[in-house]
Amino acid sequence: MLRKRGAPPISPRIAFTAIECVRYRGSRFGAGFGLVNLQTGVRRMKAFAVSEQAERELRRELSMRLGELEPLGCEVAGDGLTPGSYVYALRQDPGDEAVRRAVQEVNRKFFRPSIRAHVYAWGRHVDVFKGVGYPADVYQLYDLERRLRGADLWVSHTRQPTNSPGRLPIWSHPFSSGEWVAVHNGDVSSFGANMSFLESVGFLNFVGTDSEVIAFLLDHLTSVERLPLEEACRILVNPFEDYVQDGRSQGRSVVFRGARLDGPFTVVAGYSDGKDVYMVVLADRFKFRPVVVGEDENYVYAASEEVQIRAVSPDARVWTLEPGSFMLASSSRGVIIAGRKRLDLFVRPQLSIPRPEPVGHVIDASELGYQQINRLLRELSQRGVSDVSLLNVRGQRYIGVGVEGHIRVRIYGTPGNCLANLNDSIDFEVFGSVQDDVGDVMHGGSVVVHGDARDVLGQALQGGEILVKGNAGNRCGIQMREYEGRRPYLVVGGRVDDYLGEYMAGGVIVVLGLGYEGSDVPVVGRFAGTGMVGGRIYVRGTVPRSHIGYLPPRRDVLQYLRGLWLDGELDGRAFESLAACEHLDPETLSRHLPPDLLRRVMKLFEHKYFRRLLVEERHLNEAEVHELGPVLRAFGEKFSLEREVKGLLDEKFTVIHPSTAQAPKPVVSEEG
Amino acid sequence: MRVYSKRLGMDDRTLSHLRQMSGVEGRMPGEPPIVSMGSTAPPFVEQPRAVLDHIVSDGAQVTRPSIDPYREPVETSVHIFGGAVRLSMPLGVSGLSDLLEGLVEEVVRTCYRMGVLADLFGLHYEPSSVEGRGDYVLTHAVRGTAAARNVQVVVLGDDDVDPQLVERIRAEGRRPVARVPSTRTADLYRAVASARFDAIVIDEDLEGDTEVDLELAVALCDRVLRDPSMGGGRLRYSVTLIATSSRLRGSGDVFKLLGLGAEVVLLKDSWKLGTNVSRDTRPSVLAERLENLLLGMQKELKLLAGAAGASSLHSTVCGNRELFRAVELDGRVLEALGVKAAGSW
Repeated sequence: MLRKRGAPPISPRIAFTAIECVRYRGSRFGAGFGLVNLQTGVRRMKAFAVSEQAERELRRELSMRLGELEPLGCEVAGDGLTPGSYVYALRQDPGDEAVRRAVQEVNRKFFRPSIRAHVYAWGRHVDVFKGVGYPADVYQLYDLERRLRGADLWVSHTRQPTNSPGRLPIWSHPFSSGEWVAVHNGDVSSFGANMSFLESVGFLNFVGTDSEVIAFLLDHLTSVERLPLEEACRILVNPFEDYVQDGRSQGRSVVFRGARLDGPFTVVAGYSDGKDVYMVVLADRFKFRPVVVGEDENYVYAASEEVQIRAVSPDARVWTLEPGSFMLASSSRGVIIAGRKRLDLFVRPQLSIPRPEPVGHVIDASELGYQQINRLLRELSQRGVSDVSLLNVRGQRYIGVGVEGHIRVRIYGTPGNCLANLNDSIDFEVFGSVQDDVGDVMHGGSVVVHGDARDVLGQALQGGEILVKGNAGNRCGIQMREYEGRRPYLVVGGRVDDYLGEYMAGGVIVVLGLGYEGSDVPVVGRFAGTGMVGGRIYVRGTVPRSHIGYLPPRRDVLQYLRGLWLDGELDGRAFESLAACEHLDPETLSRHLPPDLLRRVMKLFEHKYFRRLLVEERHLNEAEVHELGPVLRAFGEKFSLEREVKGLLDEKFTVIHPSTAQAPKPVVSEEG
Repeated sequence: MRVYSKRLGMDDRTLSHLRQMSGVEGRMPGEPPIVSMGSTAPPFVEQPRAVLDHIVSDGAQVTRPSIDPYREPVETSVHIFGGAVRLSMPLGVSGLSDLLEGLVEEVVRTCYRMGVLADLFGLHYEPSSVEGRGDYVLTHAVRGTAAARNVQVVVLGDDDVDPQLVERIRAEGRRPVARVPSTRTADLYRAVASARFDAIVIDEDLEGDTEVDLELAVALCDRVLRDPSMGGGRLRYSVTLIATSSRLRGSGDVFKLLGLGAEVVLLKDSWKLGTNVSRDTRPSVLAERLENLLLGMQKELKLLAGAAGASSLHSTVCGNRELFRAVELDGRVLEALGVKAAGSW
């Protein structure tokens, strides 16, 4: 959470409240808090040491390199098993470079054969409080509430160890290097390559967890390489080759290939250059971890789940990052780079979420856990209650799981992950946004969302309807299927991100892009329909062909064509016209190439799982109008968009389905 | 000096595997053959016969899901020579000196089409097909070359390194490439790097005094070039490291060498045996089989990378020893490779 200039400093209690919301995302194997302040005094350094002797030796080694180190006391006492935390002041500051080098040397010395001590923060603007335990334990351990006033930026974290053990605080987040403090959700596969790069520029010691290299890379790229923040972020998020268009970015991605991150990651980091305080939020290019960001008049937020932001700022404007992008914000400038194109269009649906009077049996969910909620719902359903309203829902997961019966559940607030999983018969209506994995393996009933949905919406959906007024995220409708009399429908009013309908086998997805008319932002992300073997996707308007399916890299195809031209097999004019085509997809190639050359080039596309996708931009046929009419009218009614929806059936849609699939037949609706 | 002999030989199963990918055998050219859920491969069942056989690579876990390369992008492109040339995959083809001229021409054309390197080392002429395709050819002769951009200089000892020759090659608008034996002499790698060669080809088949297994040479060269005292550590990322040996069998060997620090791997005997090339092979048939073989190997590299949760070969896998562990290797060899023993975190 970042404070905008003029806003009150952020108290530690707020940082704690926000992470407590999602306590269940972590474990007792590590938690921590970090802060950044623009105003600073003398440089402080913080270290863990397993014993007083180790601490004395550490202090001596540091003093040898940096001059007199004034001990400011033991922040947290060690207990024989867990090291204590010690703080020092460096009165005569020799500068960042000298301190960085000294810390690296000393940390390496005290790391083997067993870890005796470790310097974990040394910046002038940053402070870190971390330990083994849940966030509440660490919060108490460092007595943060009593000891600290507000800060310009806080990060907080609870750990699920993936890479290294959870028994020592050196492996907890946040990690800090220089004036950076960073937390990470994920498991970086480029870890070893990043360490190799960092070794080549003088980093000598690594604690053994992937998250640490992120802090080191941020520090090195900005403070040593002196890259502008935006460029450093771009290198780290590692855009796909075809997004790196200009020569300079290309050159940089080669020279800094060891600084590119891979694997799942969401990173939230704070930084100060002495003139401003920055928040950086990174999302990996496959969007394998959640991240939600937000802003209000006074603050900028980043969190794993929306409920964390709502806990602090109920009316904040909230959005998600595009896959492989980053958000950059500062105290003095607010949000500088939003991490999403045309943010104004993306957040529009949020502005009109209704809050009608609760009906039926009303439950205040503010103090209830998900198991209690579901038990109540089961009991009510068994008693024959048909309407239930859940108020003050604040991130509870699995709502509705294990509940049977034709019951209508209205949700006010922000439900957590896995809403309506395995749903067979319940009709949910959410007056707010939902989180990840809604309607997983749902086979009946319905989910109506007045706000946004996040990632993995309707995974393996096989019956019923999911209607979302706003946007949805990554991997929506993957593995959807239909069988016997059931056909599921997934309708999204705004836009979706990557991998829409991946591996789809049946059912219907409709993306309407309401509000995006006339903008140049596509309403679906990339790789839509990749691996599709059945079912249909309808996207209103035009979808760039490059966004559909998985195509081989354009440069590979061009290389092959250029080779054919040099071989004398393809004439120059044909090559040039192909090279000028915006998309080199099978349809375009088949229009320009004779059959024998086409067969050869198609080897780059085909493989044993390859299915040609039929992509048509056309009006709906009679059967489709008959089938989709009721679904879209229901969408219009639910979201008071009857007028907007009325004309939609006459518009052109981009229709995507595997070419061996049969023409759509209307299914007799169960509800008649 | 060497851990294993470099005369490895190809066993029937590996040969059949390559031939199924090239299309000589089987019914699915260009596709990795699926064998079974288990494996008798070394080091666990069969006897390891190379250092590479002791190395195993990471498989996906819950927190880092595998990436399916048939539906999602796993980038195999490699930008070499400081980014000047883009290969579509980290592979190349070598050992052309015993082929008929007509077939050599076809190999050069096919390599260009597929975006991989054709290595002409050992050839005493320059094929005409190099014209216009010079970026993707490693030419041998230092003098009198017409079309090729990438000129190889054989360096057997560090006293062979001639910085003035390197400058002269550059002045001609060409890229100087050093070709060295797989030596354990760190000074040789330092000398080559300091002389500003654009690339180093470590060729295990070159005879030298201080030979060591290719795996160890690649790991050493990678480490030497990454030493912060050498050009501020930037050096490693401006020199392309290429490895080759006639004993390399397929994508498994390639993938592991990438992990040890190589950026491109050139195949010699395996591609010829895999495509079953002989004096009687028609050039168009060779082209088709070679393309199939390359496509099949590219898919295998993607599957291996995807299994480790890596979506990019060049930036994530190259030099990433964390994705690998070693089984039953001597401690000194482990340290030389920089790979941890299996079971270590």
